[in-house]
Amino acid sequence: MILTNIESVPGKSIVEHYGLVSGSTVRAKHVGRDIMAGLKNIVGGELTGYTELLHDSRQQATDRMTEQARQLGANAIVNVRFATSAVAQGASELYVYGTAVRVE
Amino acid sequence: MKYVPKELRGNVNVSRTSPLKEFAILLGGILGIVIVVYAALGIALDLVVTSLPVSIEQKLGSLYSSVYEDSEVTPAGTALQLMLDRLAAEIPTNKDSVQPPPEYKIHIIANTRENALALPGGNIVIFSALVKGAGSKNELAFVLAHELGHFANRDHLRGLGRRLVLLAASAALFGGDSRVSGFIMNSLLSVEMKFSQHQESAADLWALDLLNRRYGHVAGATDFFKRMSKQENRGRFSYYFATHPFPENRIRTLEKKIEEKEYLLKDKTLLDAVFKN
Amino acid sequence: MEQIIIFIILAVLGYTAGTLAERKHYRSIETRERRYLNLPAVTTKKESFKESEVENAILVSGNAVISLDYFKRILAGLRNIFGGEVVSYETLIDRARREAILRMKEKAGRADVILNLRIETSSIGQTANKRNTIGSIEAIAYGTAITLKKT
Repeated sequence: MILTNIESVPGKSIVEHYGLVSGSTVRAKHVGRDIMAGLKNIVGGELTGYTELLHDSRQQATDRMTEQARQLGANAIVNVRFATSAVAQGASELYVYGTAVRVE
Repeated sequence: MKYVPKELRGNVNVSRTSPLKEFAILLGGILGIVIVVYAALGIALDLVVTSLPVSIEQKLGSLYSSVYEDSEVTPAGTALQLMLDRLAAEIPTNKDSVQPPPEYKIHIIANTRENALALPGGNIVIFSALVKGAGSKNELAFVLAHELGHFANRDHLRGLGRRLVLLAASAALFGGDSRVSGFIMNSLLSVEMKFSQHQESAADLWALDLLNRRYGHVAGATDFFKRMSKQENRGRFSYYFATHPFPENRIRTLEKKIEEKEYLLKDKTLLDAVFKN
Repeated sequence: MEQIIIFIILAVLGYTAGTLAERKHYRSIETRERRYLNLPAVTTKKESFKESEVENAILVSGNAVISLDYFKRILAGLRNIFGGEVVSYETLIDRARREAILRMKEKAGRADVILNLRIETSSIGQTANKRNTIGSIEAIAYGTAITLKKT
């Protein structure tokens, strides 16, 4: 599965498209991570716990989108967009969507 | 580029898990954690409570002074105080046991519920309805002895401490989420209540012994609970969550103890006129 | 005691009513999605038509605010302590988003394609200013509906 965030897949031509595909997941971090992040916030710097968490979740959302595209018989997703929103304290939603296409 | 309409089957963005199962697992987990923390803190607290100096207890007692500051000195209060002092004089002194409060004080406050409280600092608060409703002096003596039992077992401090621990633990875990913490608090409260029911039974038996030492018999010991069970037609179920055991169970426990120890049941002393107004 | 009873009643009510409403909503979403199957909404900006074929192009948008039921809210609250995937939010967001896309398509009338689709989500509702609770979420979908000249 080829994923791009531009209109096309360079070097290939889009033959068919199947409309919108999307994947999403909501993740919460546990209280322990919260406390560690709270401490880290005092000195600043990267919150590696959160970086990992968000990375993993985004990966899962992407996998779900790819799964949808595969169901439709697509072999590429173009113009992919990521969106992140905080649905509640300590829980964020990772959303990814794009257009499923078949390239040759 | 041509559009080919295709329908998606299934929904990859929604997990096929049972929310009820998830709820049970999460709730079990959280209750487990909280109960373990609570028990650990509770044990630590018991150690503190048994070695708490009298001066600190007095200070704690003054925190509650608003409960009884409206109470006035009435003839009934004076008479009860006298009864209490005589009962307290009979409390067995045990070297191992903790220092009791230097003095016990009766406070009668106007309230239509029949209840009595043991507050830190040796203060016993009695609701006026209980004094008016009592059938005999022996009945009142048992109530007083029961509250003295709470002091002897340090229940008045334990209850306070446990509740504080509960609040602190819940605030630490759930922060401001009042819905969840409220629910957990409620579930824990029923554990707390069981604990407290156990304390009440212990105080009952302790009171029975004191009554026998003071008067040489234990007539009227179960009268208060008999009146309570007649008045209250709450179902047995609601007692599961109550701080005090089912009155009939208390009567049964007391009667068993009376039989076991072969305590005498002599005539009851009727109440003087001072108690009735 | 009373609090526990109220809690149980609310949770059971929330669970049953919430599940029924969700099932009904999903059925409605699925039928409508089938109806609009021939109106694709894509994230790309180009399609295989010539400029001269376009009759008109308009901005269309649709939004939906969906709220979580009491039971799932408690479930999410518990999940927040342990961390991990918050499954109880999944249907909420999925429904809001698909509903928003459908409403956008309904506004597009007899359009042939919706280009440059964008979807945004935000948590709103009475508790939006208190960040520790979720009242409801809003999904908005917008794009450019293209109607081609019919020959």
